[in-house]
Amino acid sequence: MDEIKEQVHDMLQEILPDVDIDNTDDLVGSGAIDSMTSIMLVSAIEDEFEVRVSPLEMTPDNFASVDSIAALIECLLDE
Amino acid sequence: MIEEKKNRDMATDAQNADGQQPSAKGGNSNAPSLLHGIVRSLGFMAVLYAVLLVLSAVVTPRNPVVTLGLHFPSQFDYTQLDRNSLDLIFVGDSSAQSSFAPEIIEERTGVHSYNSARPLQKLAESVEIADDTFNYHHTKIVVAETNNFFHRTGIRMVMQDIGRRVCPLLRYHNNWKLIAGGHMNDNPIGLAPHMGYKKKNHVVPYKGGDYMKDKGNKISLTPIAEYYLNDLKKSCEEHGAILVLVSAPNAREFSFARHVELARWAKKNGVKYYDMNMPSSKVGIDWSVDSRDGGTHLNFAGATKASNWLADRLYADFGIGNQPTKEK
Amino acid sequence: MSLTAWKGLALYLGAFLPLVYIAYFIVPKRWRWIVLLGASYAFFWNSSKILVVYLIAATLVTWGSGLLIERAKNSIQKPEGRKETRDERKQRRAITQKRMRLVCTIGTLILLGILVVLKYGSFIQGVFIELFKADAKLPLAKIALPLGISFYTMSAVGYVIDVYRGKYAACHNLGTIALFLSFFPTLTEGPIGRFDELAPQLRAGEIARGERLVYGLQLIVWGMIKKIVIADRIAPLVGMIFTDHTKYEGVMVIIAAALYTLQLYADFSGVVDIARGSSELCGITLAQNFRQPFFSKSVNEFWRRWHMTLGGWLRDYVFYPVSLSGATRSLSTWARKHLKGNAVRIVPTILALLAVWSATGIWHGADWKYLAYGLYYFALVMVGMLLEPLFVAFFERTGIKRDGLLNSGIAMVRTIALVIIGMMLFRADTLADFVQMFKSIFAGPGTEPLVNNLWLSFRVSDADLNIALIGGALMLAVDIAHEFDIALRPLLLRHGTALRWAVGIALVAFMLTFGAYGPGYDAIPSIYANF
Repeated sequence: MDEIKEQVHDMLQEILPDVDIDNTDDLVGSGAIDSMTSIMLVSAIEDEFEVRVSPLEMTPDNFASVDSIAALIECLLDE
Repeated sequence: MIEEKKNRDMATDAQNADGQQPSAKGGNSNAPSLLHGIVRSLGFMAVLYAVLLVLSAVVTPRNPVVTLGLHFPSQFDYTQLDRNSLDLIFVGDSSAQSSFAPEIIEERTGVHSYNSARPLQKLAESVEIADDTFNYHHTKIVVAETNNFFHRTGIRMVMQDIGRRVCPLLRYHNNWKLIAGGHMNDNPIGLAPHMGYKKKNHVVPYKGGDYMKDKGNKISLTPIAEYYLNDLKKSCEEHGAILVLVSAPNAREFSFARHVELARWAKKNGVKYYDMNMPSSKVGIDWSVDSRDGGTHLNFAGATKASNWLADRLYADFGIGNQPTKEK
Repeated sequence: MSLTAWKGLALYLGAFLPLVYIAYFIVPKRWRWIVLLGASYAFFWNSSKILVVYLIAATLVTWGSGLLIERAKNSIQKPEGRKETRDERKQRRAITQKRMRLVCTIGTLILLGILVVLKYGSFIQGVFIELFKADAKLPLAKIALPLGISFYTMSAVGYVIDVYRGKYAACHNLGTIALFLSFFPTLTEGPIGRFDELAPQLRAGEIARGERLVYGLQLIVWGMIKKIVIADRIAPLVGMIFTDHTKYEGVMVIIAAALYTLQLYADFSGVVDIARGSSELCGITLAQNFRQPFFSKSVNEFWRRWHMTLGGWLRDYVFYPVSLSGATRSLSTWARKHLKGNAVRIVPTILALLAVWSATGIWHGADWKYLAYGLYYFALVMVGMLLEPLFVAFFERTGIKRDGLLNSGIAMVRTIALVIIGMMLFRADTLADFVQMFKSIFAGPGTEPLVNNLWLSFRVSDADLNIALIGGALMLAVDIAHEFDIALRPLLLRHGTALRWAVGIALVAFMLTFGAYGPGYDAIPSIYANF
């Protein structure tokens, strides 16, 4: 899980260079991740982890933090 | 289930967040606080009403003619004439405004009349105007044209009528502009032409057939319409005036069914009813030259016939005016 | 089509709403939703009469689709007596998914199809005739639209897709679906509702008492002020300039567009507030549709604060599906192989963005100018994305803070300007008119009509304009408070009953005195009600 978190962290940092990922409570609520950046993130996730993200998973809760994103990926990997 | 609870919690949170005292006025309030709530609401509404009355007083003009709020001030010109100079007042919608020319009537039998009708005038307004004229004149006859007995006599009319009586602000509120421009106390200038009659000379013939055929259908006056008519009747009685119902020639909107219903009401209430649409009335309307819009309204030629006819009938049936001076 | 004209509003507020509330009071909680259903259909019937068949059809299709998707999901039995293997499950899932998708697609196509035919039929026909130079007599003349069809169709399609995606179970109760689609406060101008947020509230039968009742009434009064004092007052002025647009240039055109933007905001948010207030009376909280949109620092942000439920709907049911679709993924792969730098990120989004913005545009109406309206924002968004590296470099070099006060201010002004231009397109009669108007901005200063207020007429005097601007200032003040999360109503409450009553009375008096109603004011149809 920690490996996934690390990878997610790096991905986010690349997509959102100006955002302090570690100190932002809610990436979606704060506006750091919006519909556009979430798609970029999903692209990266799908390439990296070879999973498919569906529209149903595009929720603010899933993308709120590094932890929640990592959890989502775990879930998708298990399917 | 969880969603429901979440939403209900949301609602309570919303209530609490809005500064509400927690238990007092929640979803299921107990008797004392419900009473408390009602009392407070009534208190608020009382103060609100008082304020609105004050504002009403501010915007109500001394003379209803001077007002931005009324699109057709001509219907109030009876206030501008010499006191007690009117014998007869016409009320109704555009059917009345286009059919009766006071100047023609005066020429015919010497009766002084004014046409206080206006397009889209509602029955409630007609009654109000008729009633108001008694404050200015010893009106002997009130002639109510019947077209607006059948149109727009629904809840909206009642609401507007009540609203405007209870809170004149609703009627005159646009006068804030007059106040802002310093024109609130201006005196009204001039009168509407032709004593309120709308004179038009166009000719657009009516090309349909016999519109007074009995089609076998039935039309009823709404209870609201009957209520206002009774009001009108009472008002006339109180002031010693005669109420007369008239159906002006209207090929497009009038029908035999309306005649039947109006005749019924008139008979039941002992009110005189003239139907100019019935062939037996022999008003002499020629639809190829007497209409300005294809059968709904008369033009000046038609109105001349209608006005003369009515003047003659009023003289014959009620002795109003002088012997008709007929033209060659 | 409905006219939320003053007369309609008067009847709605004076008779309809009180009756609904009283009925709600009398009827036991369990049956209150039936009161709402009856009231909603009565409201619909009053506006659209026989067109109710379309609403009923949409309701049946929606309900049926949900049930059929559920049936498809369970259409293959799991093996009895033993546990399913992984492969078997995969196979079963694949087949049921296919079936579910089939139902979802058909249901969605029917629902959208009705909307498209009714709303865009004559326009499409016109286009064909133009294209093929045919001069066929149009049998499909302009048909009247059922009230709220653009709104309830979205809600319906959202429900069907949600059930397909497994977000929640299908609803077996036809009445609930019927009420969800026809709920009267949302019929005229939305907001577009989500089934899982709205349906439970609709059935719950909560009634507003005490504070919530006051809240609902306050919302209604505030909405009324926005609509009849501000929006309806500016409307004739805006209409005058847009109708005779060739007579104006320069500053006048900008003023017209700016005034229209104010009018639209006041009108739309006003009617939505009346809808929200009405719902609160019935114990229902609707989704927010506006969040101080003119504080946006970008066009993207604007559409997340303006008509929020439409934006949200398009995001969830158009943007994400297209972004995650095969086509976009292929485009993404291709871009990664053949492009460099920023383009790699931008190109894949083009399809999705194009879909969303085109939809945004034409949802508003069947005309080229509405498509242009959507594409205008598409272009702005694309340009923004392309210029992004330049902006980043700029801020780095100059050391100016991007989210500092100065830049935020500039960004807001820029966004407002772009929005105003968009609104000019939105309001213009045709695309050609907009082009003419836009060009005329640069034709000259155009200040002559402003001298001595020549441009104002009896209908809209300078007194009118002042009232509208005062109203606008009031709206701005309220928006500022909300932007800084200042809750106004508790604030008022803290300062005692007297102040609260005074404010309430002042607002009602303001509304009744300065409302643009009564003889002399034509009934102003609500702008968004024509959708």
